Amino acid sequence: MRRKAMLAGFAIAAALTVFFIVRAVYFAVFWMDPERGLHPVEPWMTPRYIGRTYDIPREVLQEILQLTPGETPRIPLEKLADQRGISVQALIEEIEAVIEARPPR
Amino acid sequence: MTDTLLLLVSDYGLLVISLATLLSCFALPMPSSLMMMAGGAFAAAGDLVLWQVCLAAFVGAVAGDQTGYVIARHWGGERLWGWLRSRRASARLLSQAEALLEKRGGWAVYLTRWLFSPLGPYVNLIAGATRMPWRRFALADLAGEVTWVTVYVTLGYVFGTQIEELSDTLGSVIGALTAGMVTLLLGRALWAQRRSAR
Repeated sequence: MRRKAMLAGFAIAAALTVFFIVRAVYFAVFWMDPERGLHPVEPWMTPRYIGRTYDIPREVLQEILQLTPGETPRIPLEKLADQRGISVQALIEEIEAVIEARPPR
Repeated sequence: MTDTLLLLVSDYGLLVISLATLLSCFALPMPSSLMMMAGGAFAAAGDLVLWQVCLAAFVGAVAGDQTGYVIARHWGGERLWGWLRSRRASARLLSQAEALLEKRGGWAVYLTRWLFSPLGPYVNLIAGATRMPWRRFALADLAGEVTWVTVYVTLGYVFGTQIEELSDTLGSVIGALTAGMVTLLLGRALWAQRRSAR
């Protein structure tokens, strides 16, 4: 009885090992794919994080987000959009337009 | 799901990171490693302060581990362990586990903090229930959590722009390592059993 339980445990653990190896390889391949492009802008990102990640000058970002110069609060996009009474999607599209418009590096 | 959690980190900062590492010590499904990486990434961007992120994650993790240990040690864990040991079905396996912990307990605690992290919560309970000396547990725990926090916050700091991709990959690697180790241990126990049965 106990041996059966241990054998079952062994089989499950072995299956999980294989599953996680496959998953790790899958994600790594996906991650390394140069065609993948940039990670999309998401509602949780903060102004500074976006600036650093997508290499957008601070002034450009401040203009889109209607922030005064010198203002880079740790507030996620979603909340900024709420405060301005606009949809977060609209903000994201504006930021992505700036990223698109840049000459490719 | 991931996005909601990241939103919490950018919104509430350090407190959420502490809470995540604390809850992950109770085997609650918390992507605490992703949240530590987010903390590191926000520190790199200048939204959070690096040492504060490390400290927040560390305090949460150690508090969680100690709670697990103390609960198991003082509130019935010992009795439960004794009862399980008195049953023939589980006695040998448990006394083997106990012997292993006696011999290599410090390493078991240290490595299950970061390398085999999914096992951490259970090792806390077993260490408490088997009355592993507190000093030994605490020292290995502190060292292990320092390693855990440093690795993930640094990764977040360095790979700031790709934390989600990194988290998916690394999470799977940790999963594979942990499941692989359990497979090996069970395989060894089964092998030993077969030999002694002959």
